[in-house]
Amino acid sequence: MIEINDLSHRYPDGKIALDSASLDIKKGEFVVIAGRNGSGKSTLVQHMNALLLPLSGSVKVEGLCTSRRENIPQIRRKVGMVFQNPDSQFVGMTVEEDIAFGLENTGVETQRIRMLVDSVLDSMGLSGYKKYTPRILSGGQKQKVAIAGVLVMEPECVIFDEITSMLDPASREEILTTIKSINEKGTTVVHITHRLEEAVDADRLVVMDSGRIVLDGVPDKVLANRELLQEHGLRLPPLLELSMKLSDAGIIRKGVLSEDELVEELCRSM
Amino acid sequence: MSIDVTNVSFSYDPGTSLERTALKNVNLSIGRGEFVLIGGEIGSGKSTLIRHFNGLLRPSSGSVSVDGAEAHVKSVRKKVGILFQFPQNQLFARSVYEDVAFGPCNFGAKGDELRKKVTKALRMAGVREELYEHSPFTLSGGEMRLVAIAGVLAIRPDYLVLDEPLSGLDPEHRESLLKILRSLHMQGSSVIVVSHWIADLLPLADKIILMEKGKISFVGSPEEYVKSTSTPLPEITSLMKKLQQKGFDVRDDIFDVGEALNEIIRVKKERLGSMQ
Amino acid sequence: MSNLFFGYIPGTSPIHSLDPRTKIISVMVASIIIFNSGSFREMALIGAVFLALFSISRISYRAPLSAVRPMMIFLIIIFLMQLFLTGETILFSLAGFNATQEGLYAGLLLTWRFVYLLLFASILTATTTPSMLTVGIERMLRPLPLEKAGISSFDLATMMSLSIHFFPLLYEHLEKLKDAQMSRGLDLKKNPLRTIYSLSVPMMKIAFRSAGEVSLAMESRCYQGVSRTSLFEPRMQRMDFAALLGFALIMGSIVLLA
Repeated sequence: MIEINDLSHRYPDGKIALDSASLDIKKGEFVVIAGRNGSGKSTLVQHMNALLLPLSGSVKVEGLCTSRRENIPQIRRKVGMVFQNPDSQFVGMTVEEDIAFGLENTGVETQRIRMLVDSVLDSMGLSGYKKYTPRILSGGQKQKVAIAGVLVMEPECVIFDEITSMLDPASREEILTTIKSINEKGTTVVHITHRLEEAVDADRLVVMDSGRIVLDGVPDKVLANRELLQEHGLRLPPLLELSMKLSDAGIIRKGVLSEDELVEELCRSM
Repeated sequence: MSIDVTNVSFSYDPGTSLERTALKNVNLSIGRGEFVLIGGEIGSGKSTLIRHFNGLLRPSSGSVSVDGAEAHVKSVRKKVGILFQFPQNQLFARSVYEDVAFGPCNFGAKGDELRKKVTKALRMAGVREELYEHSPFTLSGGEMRLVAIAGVLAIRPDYLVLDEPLSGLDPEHRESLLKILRSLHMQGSSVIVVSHWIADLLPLADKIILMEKGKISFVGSPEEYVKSTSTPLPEITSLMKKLQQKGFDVRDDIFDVGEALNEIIRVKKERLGSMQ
Repeated sequence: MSNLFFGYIPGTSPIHSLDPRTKIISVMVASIIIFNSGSFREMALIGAVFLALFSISRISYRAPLSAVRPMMIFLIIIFLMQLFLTGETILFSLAGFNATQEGLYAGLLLTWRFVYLLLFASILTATTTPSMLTVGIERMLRPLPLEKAGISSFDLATMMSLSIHFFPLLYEHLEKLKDAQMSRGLDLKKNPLRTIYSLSVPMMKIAFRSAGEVSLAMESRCYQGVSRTSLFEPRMQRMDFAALLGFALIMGSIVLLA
């Protein structure tokens, strides 16, 4: 679905943002990209929907090259993005107008806009907030509106750029569940975070540092590299760390991520 | 010597159609040198409460005093330093040094005394020396936050209040901030943290205060918090509690991986021992 | 900053259901007539028209009141300027300035005119949501050759929507920033230069950053500034033409008959 080849990028002040990064994302995958602040995660994904254009290397979305101007509108319809700051994504004065924004931009006619907006309001549980001004909603609800505004365009891939980092724990859980269900419906999902616990249900975990991709594979395998992850500024979820140490001590068979699994394993072994 | 909140109630926009009561008859006391964690959902009144500590807000009824003086006297701002969420937004000066000097300057520090306060604060916050003369806007997000922290530390407050200090930080920076808070506490400052993220802060706290809809719903030590049915719990602690429920003789007042590992190994050995 | 909808009061009156363009054009017609009325009789008739519209719209008296109240200082200033700085027949003197009879009449008339302007505009904003207003303005601007100036009517409309959205947001940021700087000992009264500097520099940073973030979001959602459709499609109907015609006739006859 998305092919990134040997991509390099520099910040305006000359510092390296991406250093020959290559990544292939398959259709329907749930990919988590993790890394410390400044590792280049946002820069990388902004190339995926042509917000940034490659100076060296190439980025292709379903075969369309991002460096060709004519391709950009189509690419942006295929790949949607939700950003970190819940307050800085709104354009419309009410929830329904904000959600309609993307459709209005692509010249969809009024009747169809109405239908699509109502349908996405329903599926996201936001119908009651239709006429509200987004400002008075909670952080989690605001992000839901932002997600709805992207889903309404029926993209094939949605990129979530650290959308939970400014939220409280309860909202975070809600949004993670929403992201999972979006992927279950067949949409490719790229989720950026610095919390490794959010990689639990992913198909693939990619770790970045200093503009380079340092680890790429199935979450179980990647998370086994505790020291390496620590070097790159990340920390294992506490339960995983504990279970790995218990497994090293021979008390349980292998490292597990969920509390229930760990309790089960311990009950079994003691 | 403490911050005393006595029977405080507070409403926004009183007397208008938009009146909203944020605090209802709140009573609490925070002593010198205590590490207090204030938790609660959005809208529980936490942010409103801390703004009373340094006089930004005055109670609609009741009183707030700091070391005996009423909290709205200007000198209180020197004793109670508040760092709000996303503190990097407050940076404005031409250099990092100048920005950190803003606080102590406002309270009359000059010359040598000022220089000492600024450099000590910068060092404590972990800001690299080569950045002192740089414009704060050329720094990374994490470094900007450290400069903002130094800006409040330079005032040398007796009570340091932080509103969601961990929000938006990656794991590395979170660890370093917790280290800074721990060392401040050990040096004798009171540290008051308002946060949703109980897990990381619970082990550091002396006292936990939970707020719900403008009222205090829980006050106690971390151990008492764990024994009560309060949520949320740090993951490790929640695991230990579940193991307890399944019949294992483990302690539940455990917050970190190392302790949990030792505890589980201990119980396993006992079981093996008792089976022979 | 507590008005959620920029003065809009939901309702089902005939005026609420008019196309926004009808109302915008009507306010423009009203302003022309108001500033061409000089006699007491004309002004009184205009007042009667306002009251009629006001009752048809069924909005609360609070709407026009809250449109005029914040402008009181401005109104007093222009009244005083007319009173003391124009005319010849002196009534009394104050601090070296002469209040004149002509100035008094001019001042009263000018103030009255501005009040009427605000009142008619308040009916517009009370019966039209900001989004409808924006769509209406955009439609009216569309035929103009704005591309020569490098922008499109859609850009203008979007700029209006964004400003309306961001104004209260930036105000909230300012409140939080004030709290932060005051917690560092800033005394708003003592050092005005430092106050301004420590508040304006961060605010500009925040404003620019927010603008950057919004534009990224807009680009991601395919904003191109041209050929946009809309969730609401305003349509001029018979009632609109009738209302427009009727209003123009009534207002026109007030001036012609004088």
